[in-house]
Amino acid sequence: MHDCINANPPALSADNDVLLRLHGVSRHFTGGAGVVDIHLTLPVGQTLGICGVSGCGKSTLLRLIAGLDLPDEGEIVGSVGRLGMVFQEPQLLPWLSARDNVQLVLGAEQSDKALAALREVGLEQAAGRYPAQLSGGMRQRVGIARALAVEPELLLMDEPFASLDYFNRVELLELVRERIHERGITAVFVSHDVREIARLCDRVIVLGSQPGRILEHLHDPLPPLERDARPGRRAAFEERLLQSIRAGML
Amino acid sequence: MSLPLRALLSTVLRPLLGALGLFGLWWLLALTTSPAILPTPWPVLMQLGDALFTAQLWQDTGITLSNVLASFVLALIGGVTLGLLAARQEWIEKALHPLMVVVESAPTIAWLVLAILWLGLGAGPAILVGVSMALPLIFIATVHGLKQIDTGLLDMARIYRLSPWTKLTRLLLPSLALTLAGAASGALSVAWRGVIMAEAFSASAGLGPALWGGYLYGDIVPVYAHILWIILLGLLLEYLVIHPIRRLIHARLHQR
Repeated sequence: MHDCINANPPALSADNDVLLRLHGVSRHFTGGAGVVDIHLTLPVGQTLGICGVSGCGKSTLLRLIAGLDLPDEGEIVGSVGRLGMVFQEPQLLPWLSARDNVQLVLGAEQSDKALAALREVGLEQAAGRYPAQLSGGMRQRVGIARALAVEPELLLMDEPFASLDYFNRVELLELVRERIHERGITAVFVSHDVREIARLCDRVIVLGSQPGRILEHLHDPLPPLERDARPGRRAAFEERLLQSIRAGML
Repeated sequence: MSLPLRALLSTVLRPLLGALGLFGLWWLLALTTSPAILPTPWPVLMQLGDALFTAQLWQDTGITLSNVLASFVLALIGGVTLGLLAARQEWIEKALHPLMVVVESAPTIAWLVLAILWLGLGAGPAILVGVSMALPLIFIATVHGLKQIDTGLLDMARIYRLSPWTKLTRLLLPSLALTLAGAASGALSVAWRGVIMAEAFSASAGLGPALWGGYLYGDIVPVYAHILWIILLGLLLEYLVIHPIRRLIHARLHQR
């Protein structure tokens, strides 16, 4: 284990450092699925990774943070203004063009902003195309453009690269990381891929399954961009995550 | 066989052959039946041909079509509105379901008698009967269609806090369009049948009274001519209005 990777992240005391706090949050489903007793803070300007094996409740936890679902126990404290979300499937309206899909969340008067958001993800030329006329990678770019166009206070990502090929995955991850870094966006990133997590996240929680509970909370004080420039450090972070996930499987 | 010839065969020639077969069967049956009950096709076609050059047939057709259109539009607005409310609140769906079953299963004649009692004679009862027959189909299609909408799209609408109007016009109604187009075809068909039947007893003008009047006066050939005209109009409505609209919606929803 790398010395600088901290399994007990420093406590955040001041409320203005924290966007959301989860206190003992549980959500139960039949068959033992769901999450239990989640205590978590979402620091402003940081990217929190949620990882674990399939079915451990990663997406359930993200839906609770997004407000798409309500906890059975515990509470989520804090308020988020603008939310952006990149879904596993882009969730575009097939009857709207790429530009209109972005403009949908901005309002009719912000046509230029929609185009600028598409330009940012390299899709300006395809703005008039419909989702069925775009490749999987291009559709996900529209989803990312839409999420960034609202200038989110909190950006949520639910395995956004899982259905993409390797080239698109690497390219889009880089694009998202740059935007998060440039704008200081607070983000939550769900993935089962430790390499993606290690490239994007400041803090990571590893969930065990049945029911989903936090096994470990890891924090690397080195920002993701700097960590990526030091392959040894990144590899150590990935290895630490893998160990934790494996421990949860036993 | 070349493709255009095969397409022509399947879209025009085969239905035409079917229609000719029906006329042949009609003609054979007419030869063995009294002309007071079943005339041969020829005098009926002649009668219809003559009627097409009279103002009366077009006036009656206009009245019936406007009654059908009024009942269809009211059923569409009512069915979609109630369907949207039912999809929003489960208790509304549970409360409306038995009502829709009663409306759908009650005999048309019962609705007609009630409609005449409530609205008196005229076009009102015909429109109400048309609505009572078409609205449940639209309501059920709306509720079913809303349940089929991808939950991911609904999540997206919640995340980005789309206004109720934007959600309705950009997400819900386009998602429903194809299901509704299918239901609209059935709704138009039942409204068409219901309105003509109701007109016969409640109205003084329209295709229903013309048909019923012919029967009362013992003019059997005009009765068959009107029935043939009503069938032709129903087919025209289906193939010139409903089918193109359905194709248009399909093309719009699945842009390629």
